[in-house]
Amino acid sequence: MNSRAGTFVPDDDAMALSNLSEKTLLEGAASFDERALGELYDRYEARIYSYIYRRTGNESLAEDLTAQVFLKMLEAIRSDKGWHSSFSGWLYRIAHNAVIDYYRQRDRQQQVSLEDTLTTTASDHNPVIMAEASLDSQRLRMAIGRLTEEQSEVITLRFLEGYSISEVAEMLDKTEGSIKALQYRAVTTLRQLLQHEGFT
Amino acid sequence: MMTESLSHASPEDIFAKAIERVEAGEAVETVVAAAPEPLRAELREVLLLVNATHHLHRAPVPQPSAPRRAERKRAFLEAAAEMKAATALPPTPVAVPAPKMQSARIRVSWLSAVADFWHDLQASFTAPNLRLAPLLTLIVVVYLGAFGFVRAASASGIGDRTYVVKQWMRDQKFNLSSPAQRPYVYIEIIDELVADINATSADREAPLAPAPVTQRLVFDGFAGDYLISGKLRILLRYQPDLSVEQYTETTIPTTPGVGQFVEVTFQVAPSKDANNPSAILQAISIIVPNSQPVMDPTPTPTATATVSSPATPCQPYLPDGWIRYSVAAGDTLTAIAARTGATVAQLQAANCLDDANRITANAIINAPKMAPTNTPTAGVPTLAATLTAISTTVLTPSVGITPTATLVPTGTAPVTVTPPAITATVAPTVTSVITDPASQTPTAVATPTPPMTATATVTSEPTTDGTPTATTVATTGTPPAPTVTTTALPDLTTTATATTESVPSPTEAATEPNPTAAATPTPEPLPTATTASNGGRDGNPTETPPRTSDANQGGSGGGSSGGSGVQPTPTSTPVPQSRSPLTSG
Repeated sequence: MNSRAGTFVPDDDAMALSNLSEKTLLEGAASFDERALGELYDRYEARIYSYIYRRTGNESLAEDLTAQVFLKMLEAIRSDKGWHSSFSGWLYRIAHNAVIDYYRQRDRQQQVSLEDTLTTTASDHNPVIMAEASLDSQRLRMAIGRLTEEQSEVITLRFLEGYSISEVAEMLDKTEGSIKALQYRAVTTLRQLLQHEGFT
Repeated sequence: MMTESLSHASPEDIFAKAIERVEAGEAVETVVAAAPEPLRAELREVLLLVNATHHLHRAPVPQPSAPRRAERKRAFLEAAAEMKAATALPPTPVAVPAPKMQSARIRVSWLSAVADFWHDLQASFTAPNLRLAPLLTLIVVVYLGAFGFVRAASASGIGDRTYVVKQWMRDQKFNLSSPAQRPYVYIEIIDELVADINATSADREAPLAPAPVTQRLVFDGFAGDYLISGKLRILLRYQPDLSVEQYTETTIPTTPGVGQFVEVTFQVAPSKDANNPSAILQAISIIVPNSQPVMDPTPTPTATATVSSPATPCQPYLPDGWIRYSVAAGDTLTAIAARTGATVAQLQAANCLDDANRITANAIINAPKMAPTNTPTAGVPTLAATLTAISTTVLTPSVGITPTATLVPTGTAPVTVTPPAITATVAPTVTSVITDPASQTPTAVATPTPPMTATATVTSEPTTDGTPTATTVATTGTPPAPTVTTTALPDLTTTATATTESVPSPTEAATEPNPTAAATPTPEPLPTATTASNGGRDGNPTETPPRTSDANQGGSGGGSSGGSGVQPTPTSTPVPQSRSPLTSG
């Protein structure tokens, strides 16, 4: 006797993908698993967007660069040049580089140097007064862009993104001591940059 | 003391500690004062600079719109899919997806391949290579034999002799994957297994009871009468004879640990309900090998698999003892689950609902039998009334302090409707917003079915922070009017002596089923609002209720005008009463 037994319906009781550890997701991402990549995207998209926005102050630019960051992440996976220690630190570094690249490219095209921009927009170069007057954000961003890569990365993560020294150390795979030193050098350089002498 | 301890530290450390203190909320000057004298000037500037960067951190970040973000994500995933396709390895014979039960076709293609090859071989026979013919033939036979065996195995279905090879290949795939990859590999394996089960049960040529299958599974736990592994549910009893409704309990030697392997021998029992074909897996025996957990017990295979297994589209099914149930308005899966004793997950599974929140009224779903719900029947009139009252209170205490209190009360109001023969009680929501002393535009919207009598009582209870909550009891009444919209515009003025004259002007618009009509009924009783509010910042209650609100029908709300096309003129009597906790306390 023949019979049509029908379709087996699997149990639907499920735990959310969001419960998976980052390590598991990264393993999945390394093999281009769509669900893992989607979940990673959801976890980091807003953070990377905020990071870039705070560095650029431009909404649509931040959106475009965020998209670029995630595409670069895919390319890095494909060429097996991905993260080694901290994934978030690695992603922030891609974001950081995207911002730097953007400004370099723009400056080459427009032939406008950072110095020009800063000196023309500067009304007062005393950092104390600027700070009290709630400092022109754009000038501060520009000045951060003038720091070395390491310094601007530390300054951005520490003060613009609000991570602690230990968190930044883990992200950048450095010791807390070196982050403290970088932080100190970055802020003192920033102070000099924002003083009038630094630009003339 | 602080200065001394810091004087031995490096500038980096001093600076780092100073920043931490500023971030913790200390004033810059306090922190600077604690630093060694030579560093103070520099430290001050640097800390102010850090403060300035904090401004950037605190500045709000405008977020792109949700559709835009979704679009970006889609683009990202598409790029990922393209890259994956570009980097994908060529398929191996094991990975070739071959539908089950096509052994005959495979044999034919195999034979034709052999025939073609033989033809080519003959054509290539020339004197020099003729002596190699036996060797070549041997190689070909061995190659084709092995290849055909693997293909036959991967194409085999439950009940086939070569199915064990397929299972062995799956096991190797699982064993060879890294622990982190195992959850994903396991999802694929279970997907394949489900596909095999479906193919078996969907194949009309298959015998009623295909041979039992022994499958190594990762144990996720028990749920009721079922063993759970990934998205598989296997019944812990079985029918020795599938044509007889007699079950034998499955023996479970020891309770396996979550994440451990179990070897389950199960059979696929056909569904008994033709309308809801749903095969059931019945465990015949369970062996628990003495092994360590092989996989993270939270591999989420279930969630991901249901999303990504197009090979096994979900089909609703009706388990034993369940019925078809019409969803009533306001029902939720959680509520149905609570009434019937089922779990939300079971309801979702039986109805293919990915989203537990997505059920609609009057939809037919599968659910266990339960007590009849008190769904309103056609003969009983029901009333759904919503009253929204926005009122403004101006408090002018005469004590000398002249504060203006802005009250934003919210509340609910039950409405009792008394039709000629039947009584229905409805609890509408009344939102009373007292916003600006200048603007006083309370509106109330009631939508009762005819006929009825309605009065409204609003009780406003300001909280300590000046945000009062208002409770309105509205009893609406008057002759048949299918839809009544009441717009009450009370003018609540509270004086410092706590007596407020409130003159709401309710407007009712009644719509007849047939013509389009806006009726402005005549609310005879005027709403009475009694409010006691201290109205001042000192927190001392300086006034006592009652504040009285009179519903002035001819008021600014447009009162009784515009009653065209309305046969009945409903009379609404909102009686808002505001009471201050200050007086009650």
